[in-house]
Amino acid sequence: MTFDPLPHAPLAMPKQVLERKGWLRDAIARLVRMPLFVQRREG
Amino acid sequence: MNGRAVSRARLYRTIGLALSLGIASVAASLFLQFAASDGLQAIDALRVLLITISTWWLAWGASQSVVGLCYRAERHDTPSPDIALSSRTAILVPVYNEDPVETFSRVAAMDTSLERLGVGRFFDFAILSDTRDPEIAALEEAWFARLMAERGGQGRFYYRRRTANTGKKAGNIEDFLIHSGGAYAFALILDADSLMEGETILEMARRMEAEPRLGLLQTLPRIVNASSLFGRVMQFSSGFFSKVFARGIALMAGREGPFWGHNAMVRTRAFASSCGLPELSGRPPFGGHILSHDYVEAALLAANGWVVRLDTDLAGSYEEGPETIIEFAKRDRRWCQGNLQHGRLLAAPGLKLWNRFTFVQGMLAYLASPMWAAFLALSLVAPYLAPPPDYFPEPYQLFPVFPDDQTSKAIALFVGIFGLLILPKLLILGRGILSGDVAAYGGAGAVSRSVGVEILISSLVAPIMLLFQTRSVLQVLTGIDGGWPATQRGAQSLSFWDAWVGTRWMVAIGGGGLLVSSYYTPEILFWLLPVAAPMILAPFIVWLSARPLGRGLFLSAEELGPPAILQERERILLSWRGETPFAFAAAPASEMRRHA
Repeated sequence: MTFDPLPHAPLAMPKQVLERKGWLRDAIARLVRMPLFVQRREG
Repeated sequence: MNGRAVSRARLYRTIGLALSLGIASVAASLFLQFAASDGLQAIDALRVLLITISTWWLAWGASQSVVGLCYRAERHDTPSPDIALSSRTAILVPVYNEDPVETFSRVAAMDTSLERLGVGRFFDFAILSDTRDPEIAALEEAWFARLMAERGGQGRFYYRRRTANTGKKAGNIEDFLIHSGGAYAFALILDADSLMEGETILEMARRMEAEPRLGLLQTLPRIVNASSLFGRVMQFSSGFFSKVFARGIALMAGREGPFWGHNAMVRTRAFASSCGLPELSGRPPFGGHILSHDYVEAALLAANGWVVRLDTDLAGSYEEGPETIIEFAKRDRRWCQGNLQHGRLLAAPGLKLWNRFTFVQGMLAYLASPMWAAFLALSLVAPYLAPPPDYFPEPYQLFPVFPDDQTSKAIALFVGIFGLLILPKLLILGRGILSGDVAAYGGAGAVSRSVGVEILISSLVAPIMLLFQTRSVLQVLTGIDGGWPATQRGAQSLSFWDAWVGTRWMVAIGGGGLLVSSYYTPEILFWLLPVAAPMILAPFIVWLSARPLGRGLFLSAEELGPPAILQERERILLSWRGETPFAFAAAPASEMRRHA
């Protein structure tokens, strides 16, 4: 018995990036770059 | 979805959050006054924290129903029925050791339904088998041949079985998309027990065509074919209550809606480009394959700019549910592990804030149970640890000062928490009576009786689920991997021995709690009874709730007026039952050739 093969029509399915090392450090860095903090440092 | 819809979602989110946070604040304030009446200890601060979070979680659920009740008929981007469909859709049926007669009879019924609408040529069925058991796999092939012959499925029906089930269901879908996804504009993702009306499938494809940015369209499946007391309670709830809660979820989520893993249509290119799931670093239960992949896929689609929408107006979407509390708890154990794994993804780059919040909600759905359990355990010992009352706090005081009796605060809190659980159900009942919706469920009297008994049964089952979920969370946090076993959806026979073995530890906890309380803290014995008594009775409750229940109570709309697709599927199933598929009789499985 033969079953029809599924259509051959490939799609790319790239792996997504879900884990990021240093996200906390980046978040803090973003925070201290906020204008409020920058002005205070410069002032 | 336009900017107005986005603003509307923000408004509903604000209402839901404000309402739930307000209720949680009141609960915290009431409990703080009660706990501080005999002096505030560190243990009281912890109890306040636990009850605040737990109450917020209950209030958040109630808020969803309130928002859902505010619903007015929505307009979707639906094309005129005169415009012909032009896109092709693959209907994906992932199977894993299920009975092929059950599953393939659903496929035959859905195909019949689509053919009757004259649109069968736009829809192909792909049965994607991850079955490990070679005997079931051989039956699948034989029954697939039967299905092909009966439905004339050449060129429209496909069957393939993977040699390794890498990535479980998500990997199964991914494998299809990588090899064949380009042939279809859309893919309707089903479960083995899913059943959908042809009209619903067609309408979904039309909505996908009408809105090019719509990446995923989720329906609200209703449970059907339940026969046990527990199964019928779930079935009634899924029909009568869930629609309102789901509307609330849909209105708050807006274009960042949920994906529940099945009975949903995806745009294949959007899904393929956005939802390739990596393995997480580390070992299970927190590392490895992403178990609750659907939430993550919805988040990734939204992060890539696609609209993910739950359309609660789409009827004709069905599934089957667990028939016993034990089977429900087994499924819950898997979901618990999957949802807690999302803790790893809270900081994933690029996700929308709402999707991160959805992860938190999924985690809280399970963490709330150990929080309640910890609150109860701390409350058991708190009076014992409290300092003795000081009637003469000042020197040379003539008259004693009695501590304020804050019991009324505790009673108000208790009533309020119980109200959060039952008020949404009563509001839905009230609206159903006013709108006449109850007619589909047997009328106001029948629905009122069902709602009343449902509240009673859910009050008895809640402490049992609290313990099951607490155990699941502790297992996951201590690194015990629950695996991903299939739920036995049709499993209805549960002996008292099985119920006893599955819940005897609850009898010990409930009984132990009451004993400790009666000896050390008799003043809270009464408060513990509503929780401890169902634990002590757990084997009986689990056993009795698995027994078949006639149709006197919990009538569902599908029982009173069976939809065409359910009737068609029943007809096919009856005609197939007891038959030997001719192909299986003609050729041994080993001689059958498969194409992957």
